[in-house]
Amino acid sequence: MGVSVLLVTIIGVLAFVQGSAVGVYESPDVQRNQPIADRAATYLVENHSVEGTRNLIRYNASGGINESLNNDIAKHSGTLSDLKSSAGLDTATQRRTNATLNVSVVNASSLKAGTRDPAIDDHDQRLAWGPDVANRDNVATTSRVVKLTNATGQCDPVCWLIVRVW
Amino acid sequence: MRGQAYTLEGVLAAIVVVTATVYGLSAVDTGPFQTGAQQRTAALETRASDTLSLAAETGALHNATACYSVGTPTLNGNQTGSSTEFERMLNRTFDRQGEQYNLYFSYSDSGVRQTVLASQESDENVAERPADAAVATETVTLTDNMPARIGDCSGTGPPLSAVGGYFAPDAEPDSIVYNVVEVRLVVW
Repeated sequence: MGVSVLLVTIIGVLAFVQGSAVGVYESPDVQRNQPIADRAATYLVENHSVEGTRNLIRYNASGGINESLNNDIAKHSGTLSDLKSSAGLDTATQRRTNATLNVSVVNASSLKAGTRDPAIDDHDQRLAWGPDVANRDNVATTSRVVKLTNATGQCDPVCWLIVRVW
Repeated sequence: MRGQAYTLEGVLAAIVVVTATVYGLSAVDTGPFQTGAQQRTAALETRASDTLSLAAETGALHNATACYSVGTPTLNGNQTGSSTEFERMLNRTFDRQGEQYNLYFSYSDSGVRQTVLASQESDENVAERPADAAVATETVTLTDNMPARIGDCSGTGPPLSAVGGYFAPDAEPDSIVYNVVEVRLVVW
C-alpha cells in the first residue's frame, strides 16, 4: 500500500513538473547574464536609432553606433566600459564581477549562409567591438534585427546586432 | 514552570531557524527558474517583433500587405522564389536560421475580424504548433487611394478600392480608410 502511494506520487511529480522544473540544463551564468545582454542590446538600439524610428541604426553619422563604440574601446583599452555604465550594467558585488561585453554586427550575406561572422565595412573595419568571445564558456547572447543606415548594401534586407555577455 | 520552559525553547528554536533561513537566502543568488526553452522563446519574440518593426519602418510590411493576394499568393521566406523585401527579411531572420513561423493577416470584413494565413500552409506549420511559440504584431492602415502592389511587390497597380481579388474588402466605404490589417507573426 505504502509503496504504491509512493510510486504514484513520484510518477505524478515527474509527469506534471517536467515542463516547468525539469528542462534542458542552462548554466546559472547564462541566466544571470541574459538580462545584461538584453539591456545592453536594447540600449544600443534605442540610443542609436534614427530619430523617431525603430531598429534603423545610425552607423557612420556623428553620434552613430560606429563612432560611440570606437571611442569607447579606444578610451578603455578594448573594453566597452562606457556602454556598460550608460546602460546601467555596472552591477559588481562582492561575489560577482562585472560582465564582459562584445558587440558585433552580422550582415545579410552571412545570415544567408547561416554564419555569425562580423561584417566588414567600406573602410575595412571589422564590425566587432570588445574582447574576443573565442574560448569563453556560458556566453549569453541577444540578437536584434536592425538595419544600418548610410552603411552599404550589406544590410539588405537585414543585419543582426549581436551582444554577447560573459 | 516546565511548560514555560518548553515554550521559551520553542520560540528560541523558531528564531534560530528564521535567522538561518534569512542568512542562507542572502548568501545565494535566487532567481526565477528558467529553462533553455523559455530563453529560446524570449529570443524568438525579440527577433519577431524586431523584424515586424523594421519592416514597418522601411515600408516593406506595407508593400507586402498591399501585395498579398494580388501580386503574390503567399508570403514566406522560401529558399527559392521569394523576391519581395519582406519575404527576404523573413528568409534571413527565420528560414535560414531553421525556425518555423506562420504569418497571419487579420482584417475587418463588415464589422467582423477575419484572419487569413498569409504564409505557406504546410503540414508542419498547421499540425505541429507548439505551446511555447513567440508572437509579434504590427498594424498596417490602408487607405482607398493606396496602390496595390503587383509583380514582385515593387510595381504599383490600380488603387486598392479599384483592384479585383484583394483579400480585404473596403471596411469603411464612406471614409478614406480602406481597412486596418493586423499582421501577426507566430514563430517557434
